[in-house]
Amino acid sequence: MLPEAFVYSQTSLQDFTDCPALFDLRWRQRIKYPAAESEPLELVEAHMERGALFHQMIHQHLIGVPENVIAESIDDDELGAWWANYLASGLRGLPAARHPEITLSVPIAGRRMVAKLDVLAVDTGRESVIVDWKTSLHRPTRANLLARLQTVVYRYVLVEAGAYLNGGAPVDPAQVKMIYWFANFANQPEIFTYSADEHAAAGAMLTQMISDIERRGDGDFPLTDDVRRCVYCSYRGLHERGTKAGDFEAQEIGLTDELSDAFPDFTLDQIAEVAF
Amino acid sequence: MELTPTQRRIVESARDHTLFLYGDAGTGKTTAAVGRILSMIEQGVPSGEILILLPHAALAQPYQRALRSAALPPGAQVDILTFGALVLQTVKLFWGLAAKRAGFQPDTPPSFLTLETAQYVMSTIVDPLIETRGYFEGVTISRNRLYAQIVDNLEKAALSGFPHTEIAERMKNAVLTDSSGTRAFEQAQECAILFRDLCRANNLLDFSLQVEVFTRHLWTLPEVRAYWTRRGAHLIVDNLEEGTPAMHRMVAGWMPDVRSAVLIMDSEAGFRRFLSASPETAGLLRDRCDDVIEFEDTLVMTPSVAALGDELAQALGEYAPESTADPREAMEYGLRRFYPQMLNWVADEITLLVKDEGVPPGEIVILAPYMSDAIRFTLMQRLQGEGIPVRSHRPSRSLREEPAARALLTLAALAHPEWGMQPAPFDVAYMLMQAIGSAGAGRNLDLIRAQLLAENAYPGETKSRLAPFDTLKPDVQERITYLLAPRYEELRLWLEAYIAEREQARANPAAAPAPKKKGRKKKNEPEAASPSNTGVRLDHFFSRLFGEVLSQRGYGFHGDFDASTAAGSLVESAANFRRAFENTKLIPADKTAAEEFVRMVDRGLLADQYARAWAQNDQTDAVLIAPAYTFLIRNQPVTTQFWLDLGSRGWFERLFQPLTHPYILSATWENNRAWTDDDEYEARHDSLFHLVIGLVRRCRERIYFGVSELGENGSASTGELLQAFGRMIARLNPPEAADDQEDDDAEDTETP
Repeated sequence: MLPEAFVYSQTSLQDFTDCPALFDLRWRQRIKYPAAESEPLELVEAHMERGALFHQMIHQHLIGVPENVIAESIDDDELGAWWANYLASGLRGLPAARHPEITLSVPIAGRRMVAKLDVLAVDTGRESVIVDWKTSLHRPTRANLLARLQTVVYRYVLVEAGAYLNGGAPVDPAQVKMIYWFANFANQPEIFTYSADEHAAAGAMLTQMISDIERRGDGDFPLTDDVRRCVYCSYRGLHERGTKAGDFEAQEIGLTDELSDAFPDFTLDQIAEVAF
Repeated sequence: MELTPTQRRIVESARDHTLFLYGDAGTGKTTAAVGRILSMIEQGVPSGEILILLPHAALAQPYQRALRSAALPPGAQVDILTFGALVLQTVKLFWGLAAKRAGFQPDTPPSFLTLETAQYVMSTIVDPLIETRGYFEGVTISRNRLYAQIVDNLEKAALSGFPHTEIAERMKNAVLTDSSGTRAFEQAQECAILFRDLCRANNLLDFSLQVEVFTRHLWTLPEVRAYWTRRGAHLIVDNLEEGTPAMHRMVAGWMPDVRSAVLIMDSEAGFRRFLSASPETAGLLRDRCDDVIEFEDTLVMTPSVAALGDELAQALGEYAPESTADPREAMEYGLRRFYPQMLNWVADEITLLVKDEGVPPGEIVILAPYMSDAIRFTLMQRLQGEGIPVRSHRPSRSLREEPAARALLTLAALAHPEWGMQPAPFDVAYMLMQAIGSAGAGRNLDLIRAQLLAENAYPGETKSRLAPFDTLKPDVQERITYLLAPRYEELRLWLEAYIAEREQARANPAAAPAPKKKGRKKKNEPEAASPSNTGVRLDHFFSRLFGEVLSQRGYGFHGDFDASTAAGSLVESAANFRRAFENTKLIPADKTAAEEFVRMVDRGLLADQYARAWAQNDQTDAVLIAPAYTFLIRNQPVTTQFWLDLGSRGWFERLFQPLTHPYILSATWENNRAWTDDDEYEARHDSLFHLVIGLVRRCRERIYFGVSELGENGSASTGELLQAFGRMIARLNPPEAADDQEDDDAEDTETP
């Protein structure tokens, strides 16, 4: 069973879509299975650290830390190039009221679902723009991005929960835009608009998916038929779906950009409990 | 939710008010605060402007439960933060504004130390001083506790707000000791200063330095204040009495900027005083609020439990009973001569409660001042044997004691012969048993066969690599069985391939992947040659070995989720260690971070905290076995409590900590005053009273007292709690009545 306080996110719902067994192990049973997910690990780690630092730098920038102070933390050329790209075009055309790292939450199908947005930029009553910074090596296709639960969940949650940032008025789906901005392809952002019909369809789909998950019991979470996914899954050994981890450079959408809302719990204390 | 009139007053009070709620545990203060938050959100207060601040994470549950309810309207997520998390987030986000002023390198990112990595840094300072200059010769505690106490002193100084250079002076002025003790204080002071300087020079921030940077250099900045004031325009702070002076000072500074606030404080508490909790500075926040509301009526205890609390308080020399209820209705006790008999009594009573009276297992807790492995094992075996779910919370258990983690560490030593850490054949046998494991009837590698395999395939003294299976004597091969041989061979060949790959990398370092280097790297600057360029990333080694071999079908980790969880925790600990130190000069020049990690885990210095997470993931509707303070700190009332080992002095005595002191190194201590025997007695007595009353206030219906004439170690039980209990029983029960309570099957009993 899912924990009483479990909260859905685009990451957990994407896991369910990709492979119900993965959802079961990672989110229902919370099993640690520390196999490498992609190789070479050195490259994966460096890329993830760089991606996390890049997100943090933008957060700092948007809360008023001066650019020159932030630039001091740049410790390699690739990060420097991303930062230059961001300064040149990352915020281009965005409304002036920008809310970085904001987490919105909605009730749905008897549970709550959250979306942790990299930036939400609002021109009250006119436009609400979600920006998601992507640092993946490859630029995903529009079709693949459209199919990601992130695109569905973020726009849906914004319309349902964003009123307080819109002067108290409900957010009109037609005024919502979602921009994927690519640090490695700064001049090729992918922009998705939204509509009332899409919103209704998203609500129905998410409600149905969550209700489906909630109805399932132990043993009702089958493995995906798409075995190509399994090389990137840490549980592959458990299901006899391979030994070696997948090739990091062949991944279209990396983990780096999507881990941030995987665990929406608050950070634990730094002081460890001690034995008495 | 049904609210009391006092709670309704909180919920309905004006949205711009600041409230201070004060009262005993279990009187409904947190429920009132939750009700107020929900009401604010329903009335349109932006949830993104509400921030809940707690002294530690275990207190978050009632807030999480309410805020994750589907009944709550859509909006921003309400922040729930511990003080430690708030400090860490602030330092990470605003590092660039503080680094130079705080004496760090601004162009190098900070590394945040955990408790375990901080202790490692301390070991690099303390060990050479002990070995070359005979430091701490009169101090009779383990090295690990020595490091921990010096790290703890730095935290106490930062949290209480006095300079870290004044630790020894405070201790020397207050503690009556001989010249050896005075020297130890001075040596501990020297180590604390060296530690702080080393951290600053390497951009390493332990918790004490995070707090210093936050309080001195960041909380004073308008940008930082504005950031948090936006996120916490409506501030709720619960369990203030468990918070530190640093947290209280921050809240005091926040108050003028809030739109509303609810500050909550328990009376007769402050259980985390050893972690600098300060009910005294918490109480000062009362004056910062518009209204002070006292909570008086318990919502947890039945009248008879409350009466029992009063009786215990009187027996401890505190207040006299006020209640008219009969405390005997809320208590049972079992008197036994021997400790195991007392544990049997506990298990029998719990079986009756669950099976005959229908008490949910999750509503029962078994408490003792210390929870030894023997107690845990005995009770868990007995209760599980009865089909009763049980879980245990013992936060200090070390990962190195887990067979899965030990197996991985042995494999690491075998895979890196250049370290010269030849594992003992016994460890190799255990590794083989865990790694190759069992795969059904007739296919188990039991300990006898594992030892046989280790003795023959790994002579130890002569070579440190595993021998091919087909080179073993035929009779040994036969006894191991050919079914197990392929798995052994696959594991061995994986290790051989890994060793060969590493040898090749060492021969040709330019081809090896370079680690990411911290600090600014100019364009086209080559990576500096460093031992770690050809070094081992142990977390990567574990992940690969686990994924490619050990988690595969037929191996011991396959489907064994306890083992995989231990492996995951070891990977996490190894990664933390490497990331903290791989670019510093702290690792000895002739060692790699990986070697140093293995050595430190073996010494019990690292991977100590990771076991905590396992217990937290246990099922919740299960009988909880926990140290008494751990239960208190969780702050979750239960229906039935069992108190074990009433005669133990552990209920009354503080931990032996010769280099630190929770009172002398506190914000309210008057320097130059002596810590007298009377102070010590009073402190212990207060702690015992607060512990007893805190436990009672978290009990709904009944407390079972387990008393054995002889304690766990076989010596007579004479502790202060037992004496108080005896006084209470004598007052409540004439001797003949007490006899009636004894079980008929008791072999040997006496009244306490």
